Amino acid sequence: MTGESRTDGTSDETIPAIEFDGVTKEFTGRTAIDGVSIAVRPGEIYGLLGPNGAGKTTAIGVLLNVLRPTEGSARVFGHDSQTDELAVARVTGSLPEGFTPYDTLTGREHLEFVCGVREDDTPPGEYLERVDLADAADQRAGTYSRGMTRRLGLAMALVGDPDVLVLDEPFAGLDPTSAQLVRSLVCEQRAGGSTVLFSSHQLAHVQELCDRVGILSAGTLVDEHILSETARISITTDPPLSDVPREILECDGVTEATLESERLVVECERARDRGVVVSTIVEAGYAVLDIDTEGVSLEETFTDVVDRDVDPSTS
Amino acid sequence: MTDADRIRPGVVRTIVVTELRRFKRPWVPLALLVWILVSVWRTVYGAETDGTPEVISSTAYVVRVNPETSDAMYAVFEYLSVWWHVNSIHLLVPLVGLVLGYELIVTERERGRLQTSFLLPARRSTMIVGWYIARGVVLAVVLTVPLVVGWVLITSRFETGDPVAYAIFTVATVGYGLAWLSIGVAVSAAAQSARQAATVVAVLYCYQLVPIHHLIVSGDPLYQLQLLDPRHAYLTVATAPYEHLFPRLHTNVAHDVYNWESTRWRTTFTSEEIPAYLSWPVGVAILLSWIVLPLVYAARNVADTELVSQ
Repeated sequence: MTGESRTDGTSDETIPAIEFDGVTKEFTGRTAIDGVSIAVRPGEIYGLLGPNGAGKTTAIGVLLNVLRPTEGSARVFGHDSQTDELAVARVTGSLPEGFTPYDTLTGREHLEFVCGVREDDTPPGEYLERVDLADAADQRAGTYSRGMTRRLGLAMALVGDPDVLVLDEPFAGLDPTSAQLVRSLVCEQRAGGSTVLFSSHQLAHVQELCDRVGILSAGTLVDEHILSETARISITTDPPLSDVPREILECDGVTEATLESERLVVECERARDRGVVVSTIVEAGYAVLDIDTEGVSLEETFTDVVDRDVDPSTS
Repeated sequence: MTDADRIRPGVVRTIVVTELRRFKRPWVPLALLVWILVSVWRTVYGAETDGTPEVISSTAYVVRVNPETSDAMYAVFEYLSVWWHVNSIHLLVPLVGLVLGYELIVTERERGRLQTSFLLPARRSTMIVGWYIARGVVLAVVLTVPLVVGWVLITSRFETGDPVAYAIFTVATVGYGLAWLSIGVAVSAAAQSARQAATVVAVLYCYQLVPIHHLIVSGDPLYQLQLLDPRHAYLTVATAPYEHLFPRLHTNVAHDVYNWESTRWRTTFTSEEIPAYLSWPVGVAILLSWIVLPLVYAARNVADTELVSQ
């Protein structure tokens, strides 16, 4: 953690860690994003969700000063990304979608470069170990697979323990093991107090990690969805339960569990906790016959939004 | 400007070292070898004199007015033919500078690698200066090593030779290369695509193959403009140690081309005085301007540029 944003008071809880304020970006002949306004609170994991071409990468590009907004502004802890880019860069680690390493440099040399510019004395090998690239540290990055390249980019983004982590499609091209590694790193960063913004079109990752999700469609923020809201799961088992298993009450995220007409009703902090509950029941020796989850799931919301935005005349 | 905004030497050093590491490529020692061979060729086979007074070898600058100067000076100026010669580093140095510079920004932008560096907490201009220094070091090595080899050969073949004058010639040559490196970087910053940059570089290189020095010294109406040409500035600076041997203004009264490779010039002087606009301080100022101004343009251009296009 750089600490800078905290020592100068800019990480005040009243100031969003990341803020898009009416950002519009037009390219020749088309509007990529239109009046997008988002405020991400410090310590939050926020997901930008949307189909290909929805404007996720454009929004992140504006935030990172890779693109200039046509209208509006983007800020990190109150620092305007266009006029105060150094302040933004100091507190932000980023993994752009099109991250391309230098072919002739090794992974270690990439990290030495970033550590040098960020004036971080941490041995570069530590960052490579965090992304499971220690064995390939002295291998030229030009020989890395796509997954290794993404992990190298993530290691570079982690240098200096940034207050804000911005990841554009961090799971793209990753195998399940690497994806799990990225998820763990994101959680570690949040646990350390970082704010994380990432884009993805993979609902499972978003649902598992994010506190809130903004859904972009055709360049417009069409919905914001809070994923930490309580979920109510109703489960029918075989044989029917006579009592609430103790293991269910010990599951992470479970706040309450009761029996209603032989159906187990579990209150969870998040809908994604459903998987843990079900596996616990199965491990306890019961077969799951039926599951009902109350509340609108992210998948339903996303599908609704995307379907709504498809122009029937073009389909 | 806050303290945090100031350029930190450690950061610049990191950028330079990283850029130098990127030159761990097979073509770098190969390019160095080619230059050494050119140098050996010119110093061993080019430094010939025909023994005739008032005749110069290969360059309109060198006038053999003093027999005792038939020494290393000739060898030095074998590098500097102003006529259309593939043997002149005067014509080859720009190629090295342009090749090292023209892809610096535009190619990196096309490959998406500009973001890798520009998202870090260092000004884009700092990055460009760091990259320029690194490539300047590569250029200096590629140019200096062959000239040092040439110096060894020159001193082994001639009894006299002024190391200071040769050092000035070497520094001027590196400065000339840096000017073309800057021009290449500016082209790279302005170009929309690597193909466009390559086209502009090709046009520039063809232009600099056109001999202009004889137009300047023969009083061409456009000479004042041509004085700003980096080639002329380079020749002025490189020949500064020999001002006592030949003037800057002379006319060509005879121009005999014996064959494609061997040119002899007979000259008569129009003036013993060296005009101020042909003096070495002016040459140095022009050369420095060609180093600094294109770099400033590139830095400003990149500072305002979007790093991806859609």
